[in-house]
Amino acid sequence: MSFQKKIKSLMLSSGLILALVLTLTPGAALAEKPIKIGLIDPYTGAAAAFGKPALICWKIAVDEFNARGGLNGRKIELITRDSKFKADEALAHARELLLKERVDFIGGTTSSSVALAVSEFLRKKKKLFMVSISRSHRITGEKGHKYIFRGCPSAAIEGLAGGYYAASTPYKKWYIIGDDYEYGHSIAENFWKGLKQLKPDVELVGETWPKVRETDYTSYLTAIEGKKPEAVFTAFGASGLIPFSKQAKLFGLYEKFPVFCFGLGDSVFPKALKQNTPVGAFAATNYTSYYPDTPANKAFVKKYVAYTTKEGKPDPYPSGIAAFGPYCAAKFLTEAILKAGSVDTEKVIKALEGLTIQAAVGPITMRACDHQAMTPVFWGKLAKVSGYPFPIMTEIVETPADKVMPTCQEIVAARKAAKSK
Amino acid sequence: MQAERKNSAAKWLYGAITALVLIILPFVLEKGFSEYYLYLATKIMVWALFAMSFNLALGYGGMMSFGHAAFFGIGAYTCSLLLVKTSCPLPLAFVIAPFVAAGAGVIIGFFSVRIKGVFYFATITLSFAQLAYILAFKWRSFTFGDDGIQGIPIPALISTDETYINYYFFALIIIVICIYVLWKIVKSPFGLMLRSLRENPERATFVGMKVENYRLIAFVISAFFSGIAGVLYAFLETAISPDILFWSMSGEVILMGLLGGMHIFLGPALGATIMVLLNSFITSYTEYWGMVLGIALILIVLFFPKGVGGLMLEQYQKWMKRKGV
Amino acid sequence: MGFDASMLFVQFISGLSRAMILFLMSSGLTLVFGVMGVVNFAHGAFYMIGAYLAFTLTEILTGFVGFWVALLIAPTIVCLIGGLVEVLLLRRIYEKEHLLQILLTYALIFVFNDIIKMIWGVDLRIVSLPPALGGFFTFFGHSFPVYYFFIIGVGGTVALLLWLLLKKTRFGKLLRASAERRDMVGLLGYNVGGLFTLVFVMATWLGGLSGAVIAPTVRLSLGMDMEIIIECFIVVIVGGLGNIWGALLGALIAGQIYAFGILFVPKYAMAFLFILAAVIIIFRPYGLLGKPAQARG
Repeated sequence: MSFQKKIKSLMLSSGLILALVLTLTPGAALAEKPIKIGLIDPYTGAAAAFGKPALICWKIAVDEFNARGGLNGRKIELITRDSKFKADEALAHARELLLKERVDFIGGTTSSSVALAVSEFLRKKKKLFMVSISRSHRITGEKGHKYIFRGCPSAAIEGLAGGYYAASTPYKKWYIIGDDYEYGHSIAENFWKGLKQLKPDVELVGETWPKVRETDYTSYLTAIEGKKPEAVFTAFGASGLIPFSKQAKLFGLYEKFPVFCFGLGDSVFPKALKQNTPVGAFAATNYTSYYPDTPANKAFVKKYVAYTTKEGKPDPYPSGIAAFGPYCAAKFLTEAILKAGSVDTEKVIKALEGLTIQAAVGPITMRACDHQAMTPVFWGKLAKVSGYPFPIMTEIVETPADKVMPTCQEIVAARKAAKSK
Repeated sequence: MQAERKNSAAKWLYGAITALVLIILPFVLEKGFSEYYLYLATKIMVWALFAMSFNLALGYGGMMSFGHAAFFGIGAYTCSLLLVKTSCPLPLAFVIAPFVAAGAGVIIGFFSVRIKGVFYFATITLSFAQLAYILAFKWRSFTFGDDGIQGIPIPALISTDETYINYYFFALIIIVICIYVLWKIVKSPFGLMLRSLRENPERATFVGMKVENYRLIAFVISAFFSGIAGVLYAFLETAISPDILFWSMSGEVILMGLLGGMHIFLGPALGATIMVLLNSFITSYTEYWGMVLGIALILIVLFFPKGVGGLMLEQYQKWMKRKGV
Repeated sequence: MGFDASMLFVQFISGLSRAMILFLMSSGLTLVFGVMGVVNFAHGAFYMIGAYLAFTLTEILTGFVGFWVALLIAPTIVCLIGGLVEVLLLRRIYEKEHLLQILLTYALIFVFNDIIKMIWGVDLRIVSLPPALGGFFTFFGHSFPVYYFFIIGVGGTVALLLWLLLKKTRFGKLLRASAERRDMVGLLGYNVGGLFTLVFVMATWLGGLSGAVIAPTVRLSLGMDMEIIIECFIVVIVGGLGNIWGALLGALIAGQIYAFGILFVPKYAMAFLFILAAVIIIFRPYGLLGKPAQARG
């Protein structure tokens, strides 16, 4: 091929790429001096199913803010970046959002290690970070600081509540299996802590940590039986819960052992698992569309359905992890901006500390000492209920956050210990 | 003679211009655009060093390593762990890290360099690198597992908390020295020998040289400089995770080498520049960044098989010839 | 640790079912390399497309029929895509360096991932099993899913068919001949281009089939191709690049190493495969069943 031809084809192809990029770029908002919030979540890869509903809920909260006239007319603009579920990628985007886009706040993050990496960066840059999905207790615990807030629950709340709940059952010999990453370890650690507190004679007969993104749990499943536990706690997150549950069902794990699993109560998993959702398993979430049956909850579901319908896929079962949590986080931030009457980081921090929002599960307060939202947890037993396309939780036990959250003294001590290390 | 002198004068001129650009660049970027571009420029330099170190193995040694993430990651982890867990002073940690990476290079290289098949070589290096990844991931008590290491303590002099300018120059000086050393190695009798071995391994054995030794030395040097790139990366990002040891990282550096042109000294640096820029700009414009990147790569393979660097060099030589005539 | 014999047997079966999936994938990879000399990084993408197609097909046609139709149609669509890729792209770079082929097939991974995202979106998806295959057997107090025996059956059948194809047919002889001496096939008067297209179509069919077969046991997600491809490369290399029986042997070893690794040293189970690969390459630098001449690639 001659050089001219090469150049011609290169120009043609770069033109094509440019056209592609332009058509895919959403029209930039042209509002005057908007308040910018940078959102970092996975939109590609295995965890993209969490990033999308989260974005919808951030949009709901932001639209509510803008509809009320914004902050003296200033509207909020969301700028999204794809974390690809990787810490270094997310960190690079956090830099770009802060230094180039000059965003006022940063929110999002699904993976806990991503949250930790971004958190440390924003601590140094003194910018407010609102975590909306990541669960590890370390984020607002020992690694927490002035600039990080979490509007969704932490694994400390959800795990400990699970431990207390499990302590009310007769099982003594336990087996733990979970995703080998920050979230898996964090929720298992807290579950065990709670269980041990109320029932000191429980015994851990075995634990195993398959790699994240494992596709085949067969060998792990057969290995569980060899340890002859009385009950199994599964600590899977965004990555492993679906394939694990599916294969566990094939194995009859749920018939053989009582299984406790946090995420299975959340609609995001049963929605995909459908009839493969294990009936009879003990499950939990931080929010369901069917409990509590209050006008506030109905209103939230209605709004969520309206937004998902606009996106082409009406969804009457908003997820607690991927939708409700991010909504609360976004709500905390937008309410705090209004309350502070400013986008100044220090003022918004002041406004956030102790702020209470009215949410679908009742009022939720942002604890001032550790910047952790005090949101309740719901544990229950999965059962088929007519009218629902997948098994839902029944005999729900609601645990309020203040019963299971580490105390402020504990948080202070943990942070001190982490610093001196 | 005269032409040669003219040539060397031209070289000095180009060198001076490049130096001037590199020195002025950060001030222009920071004042004219934003600090982010300064960060990006530093990132490009770090990746360029990594890609060029890697290319000593691939382009010059003919060794298609699919495990260079190990050396990069070991450099970054060694330095970061020393700084976080011990009271080791930074300069010492900085010096130890590349030697540890080179040590890993000796071990991996010892077993690998005698493997002649391209894909077998790729797989054995990949396997060793994955072991390093698994170790970093699973040994939570020592490496912090997938939490990674955040907040690596960096002295105020080169800290990036306020501005990237200081770190830019720090990295620039180290990288320029490294590239100069790499250049000297490539141009030395050792480098020439390495290339002749790559072209014709049978003949070289016939002459009675120990092919493996040459390959091993090249591999270890490559690991050493990759380790330095890793340290610079850790300081730039101030946080690392096991992701930097994962095979996709090795894949990325191969991509850079091929993209820029592996038979040209500065080719991989060009590849690194293109990849880093593509990555940070496409991802801000579209969530379908993979599509754009993929199509761009396919077009390059189909139309510019010598890499972008190869194409530029070709055109430059043609232009020089035309001028000469 | 008390492990009874039945426990070990169950673990063995689980290793076998994993091996069969790995074999289905690796046979396609190694076939393409053996005949065409191309290492196809995008092989995993075809597997992923197969899985997503199986999802759509079983959603349209539910029940037992749907599953079987999916098992047949999904790989067929995949291999048509494979044919297109060969004709439009790969064909242009056979004469060029290996490394360019890697670059090209690596680029295809990005493109296919985004195409899947455009068509299927990012929701969590799973493929339902027909009830007949959904149960589990119990022996000596240990249970094992019926479906894993089905996977083993599919793997065995494919291995048998490949054996028949290679040993008993003219086409098979041609394939073996071209794997030994690539340059000879053209000299013998065969249409090399056509042969290459056919082989690539076959390989992508196998890739699509493995995707469709594994779909009911996993979660479909973007990037699922990358989760399996590295393991398949190791299987292929350990067995001997270009050798189908090597791929089978490699897959069997990889499957068992993994299954028993988890039983005894769960924490570092995933490391064993890499250690094994390194050791085998050190002692057999052309794989277990490979020939030294082919190692150069």
